[in-house]
Amino acid sequence: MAPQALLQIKNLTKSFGEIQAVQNLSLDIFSGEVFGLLGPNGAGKTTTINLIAGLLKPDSGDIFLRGQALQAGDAKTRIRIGICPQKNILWAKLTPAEQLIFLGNMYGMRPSLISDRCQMLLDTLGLREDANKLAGTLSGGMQRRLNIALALIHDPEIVILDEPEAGLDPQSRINVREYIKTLAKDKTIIITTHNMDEADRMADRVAIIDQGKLLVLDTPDALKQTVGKGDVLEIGLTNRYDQAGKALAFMDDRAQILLVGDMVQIRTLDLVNMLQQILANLDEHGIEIGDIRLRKNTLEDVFIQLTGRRLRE
Amino acid sequence: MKILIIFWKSLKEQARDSVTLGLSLIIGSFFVLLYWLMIPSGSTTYGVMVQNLDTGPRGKEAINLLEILTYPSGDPLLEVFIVDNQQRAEKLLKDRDAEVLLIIPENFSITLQAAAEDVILGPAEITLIGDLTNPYYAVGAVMAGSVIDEYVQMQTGEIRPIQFSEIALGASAGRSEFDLYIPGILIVSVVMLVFIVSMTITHEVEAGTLRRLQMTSMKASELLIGISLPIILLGIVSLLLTLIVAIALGFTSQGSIMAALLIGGITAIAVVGIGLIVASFSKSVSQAFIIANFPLIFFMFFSGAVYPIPRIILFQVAGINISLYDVLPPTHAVVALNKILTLGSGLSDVLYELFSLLILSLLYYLLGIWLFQRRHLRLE
Repeated sequence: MAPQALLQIKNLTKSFGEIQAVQNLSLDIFSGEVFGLLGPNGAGKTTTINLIAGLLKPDSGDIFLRGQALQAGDAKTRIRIGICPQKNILWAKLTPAEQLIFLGNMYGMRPSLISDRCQMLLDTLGLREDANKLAGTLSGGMQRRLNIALALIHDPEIVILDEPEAGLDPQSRINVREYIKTLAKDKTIIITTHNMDEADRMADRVAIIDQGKLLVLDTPDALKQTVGKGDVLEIGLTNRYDQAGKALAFMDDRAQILLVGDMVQIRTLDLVNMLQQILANLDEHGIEIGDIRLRKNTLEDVFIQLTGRRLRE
Repeated sequence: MKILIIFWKSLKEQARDSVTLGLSLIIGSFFVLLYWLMIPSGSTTYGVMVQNLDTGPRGKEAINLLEILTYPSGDPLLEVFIVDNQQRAEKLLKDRDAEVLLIIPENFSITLQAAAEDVILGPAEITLIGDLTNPYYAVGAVMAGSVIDEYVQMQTGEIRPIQFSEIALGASAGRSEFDLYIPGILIVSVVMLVFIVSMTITHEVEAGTLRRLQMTSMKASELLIGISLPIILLGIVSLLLTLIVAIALGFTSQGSIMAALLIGGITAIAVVGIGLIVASFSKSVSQAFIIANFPLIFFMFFSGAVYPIPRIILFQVAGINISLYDVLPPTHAVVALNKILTLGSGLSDVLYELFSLLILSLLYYLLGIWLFQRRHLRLE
């Protein structure tokens, strides 16, 4: 028997004027998984999480939490979900400890529970030393950790992290990633991102959305396999993009060739032997090469295959 | 309970923003200081130039009377300059170095002497010259004219069939001009809080913290009341500070300070309401700052807080004139404070103003809450 989804989204639609931000979106999120919502900016990720959190009313469709329909604006719903927005949302003139206690009170938690959760979060997120400094004086990394702590003070079942690594320095990025892994042991986590590496590394399953529509949903490995086998050679072209197809025609069906903007992508099992011939043919056709990169399949390849565009375009 | 927690949180934030808090609290005191500097003696002295063409001694005697005219406090009411050139004196009037030019005619003494002996020689013409657009001219001219008129009566022994007598309301006779401005400035000190209210609330919108709070089980009304309470407290403190500075600079209150604080507190409710309305239409703190200027101007100038303005009567209800500016809560606050602090009235004497102020303040506050909820707290 298939496990029951913790969160079920059925035919969710939301428009803002002429713009359809979310179109007929349906997906299931299971208890204990890290679920990635991957898509370019404006794909509808933030609208989707705001709908899940009850901060927006859907035009149509339903969201069920453990089989119970969620109502937008319902306090009982909101308490079960914690959102960590992309932008740090803090009270600059309050200390981390004060903010956690204040928000705990706003969630209607018991004082003893607030105190316990506050101490635990300050310790776990490395905020203890700065617990009594004003939030406005903390470093960017510390503010991000406090932003996460505020999403967790009420011990929600589902934690939504909007672009958790955006704008972080490498060390803070590692810290946040480690913390999310720890968090994933007893929470269901939804991560929205436009960063394929972030989704690939952290998510158990990934839904790729674009223009408000769900394109695919599966594990990162399964998604990457759909693109094809072999390695990927990316060649940046500086001129005569229209000649690239002719120059590489000799490869016939031994490779998948995709022209994306000023870049040609070649996926094949026998790249090393073909590389010399590829470069020679491009040269013969008067095509100048900007840069060359050899890599494995990524989720971006999946997105390119589905939309013909790169994630950041 | 949540209201108290929000109140405490807002109070802490206000206290930690010492520059904004400090400036908001001292603005009323600054106005008091400004008025005190503008009116150094506490009362206005009107400059009267006298050109004495009289050939006899009476003109000089009349001038002496002008020079000794004082306020009850002993401060001079008129500053008398003797001039001998009309053209030069008129230039001084145009430059507003004096308010009135009084010319005593050649035949002043002869005419008075003759009148005392019941001989009519024809009127001696006293001339008053001044810039009628100068607001001080009228007072200066009336004062100088009255002194001369009194002197003439004394010299001729004539008794007029009609006598005017003046009865000062309350303690108004002993009030200096500085004293008269204070009730209005006290209300200004509260009204100026419209900036801090609208900017504080808009900051919650701009920073996104309002969105975060929406995720909790807190009710919108709890948030808005919790944010409002520190501002009302701030309004009372601001009024009290302004009053202390005014008293230190010579203001003497004729009524209850507690009643003044009560009026300030109720006015602050209206100011919070206006702040909420401003915040409803603002997406950023800078936008709130710009928008807040408009209600501030209305509240300051059309309520008569900084300058008395004529009442435009619209209609009557139960014998009470209702004017256009009565829709502004500070209008009633200024009248009530004036009655209490200047005329020494008690709260029972200002029940109409108090009731109007309370009703209007609550209306503005409820309108502010309703608009803010619609614009920023309603789910899209």
